[in-house]
Amino acid sequence: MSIITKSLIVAAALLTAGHASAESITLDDGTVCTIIEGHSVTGGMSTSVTAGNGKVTSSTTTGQTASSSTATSSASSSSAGSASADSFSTASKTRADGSVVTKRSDGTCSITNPSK
Amino acid sequence: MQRFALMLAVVCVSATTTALAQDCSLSGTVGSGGSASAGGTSASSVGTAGACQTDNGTSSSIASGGGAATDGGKAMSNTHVNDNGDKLKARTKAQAVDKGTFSKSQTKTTTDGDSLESTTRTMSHVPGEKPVKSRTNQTIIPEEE
Repeated sequence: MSIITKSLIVAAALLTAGHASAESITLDDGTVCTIIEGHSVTGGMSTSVTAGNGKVTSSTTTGQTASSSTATSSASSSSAGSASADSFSTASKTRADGSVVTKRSDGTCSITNPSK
Repeated sequence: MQRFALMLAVVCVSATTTALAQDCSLSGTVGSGGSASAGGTSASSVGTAGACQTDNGTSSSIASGGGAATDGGKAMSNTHVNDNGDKLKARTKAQAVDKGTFSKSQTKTTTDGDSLESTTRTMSHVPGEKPVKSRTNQTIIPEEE
C-alpha cells in the first residue's frame, strides 16, 4: 500500500470525524492521540481498510442502529510493475464515556469525543 | 498473446445473538490490509471485524476480501469464513505467480465477541533478489474501563 493510500485513509477518517483540534493526550502505552471534538457517536463505529493502491477495500460497521450490526465488503484489483510489499492496520474502541479511540499502524492515533 | 489473470474473493458475515436493537455497552473494530507487487504480479487482501456488546448478548461482524493479478502467469484468490456462533474467523489468501516472480498477501481476522484481531502478511519476490515482506497486526479487547 502506498503512502498516499495510507494518507487518504487517515484523512478520510479525520474528515468523517469532523474538525481536528490541536489538543493531544498520551495514552498509557505512550501513544499520542489527537482529540477530535464535536462528532456525534450515535451510530456506533466503523473500520475501513484499503489495500492495493486503493483498489481493494473492506469495511465493518458496528453500532446501535436498527439491525445492531452490519458488514459490507467490496474489492477489485490492479497490478503494478515495481517490487513492493506493504500493509496497514487499524483498531478502534469505544470507551465508557462514549469517546472512540482509534489507533493505526502508521503511528497515528485519534480520540473522537461525542457531541454534547 | 499476453494472458491476463485476475482473481477476486470477498466474503462478509455477521452473527447476532440478540434480537433487540440497543446501545452497545462495549464495542470495538479492527482491520488490516496489505498489498504486494513484483514484476507483472500483484496481490492484495484486507479484513475487518467488529463486535458490539449489549446486556442481552453480543453482535459480531466480519468481512474479508482480496485480489491477485498477473499479466502472464497464474493468479488465485480465496476467502474462507468460519461462522461458529458468535465466533467468526475469516481468512483471505491472494497470490499471483509468473515463473519465478510472485506476490502474496494473506489476511486473517477473528472475533469471539470479547476480543478482535486482524493480521496481514505480504510478500513479493523477484528471482535473484531478496524477498520483500511486510506484516501488520491489531488486537483489541473491548473490556470495561
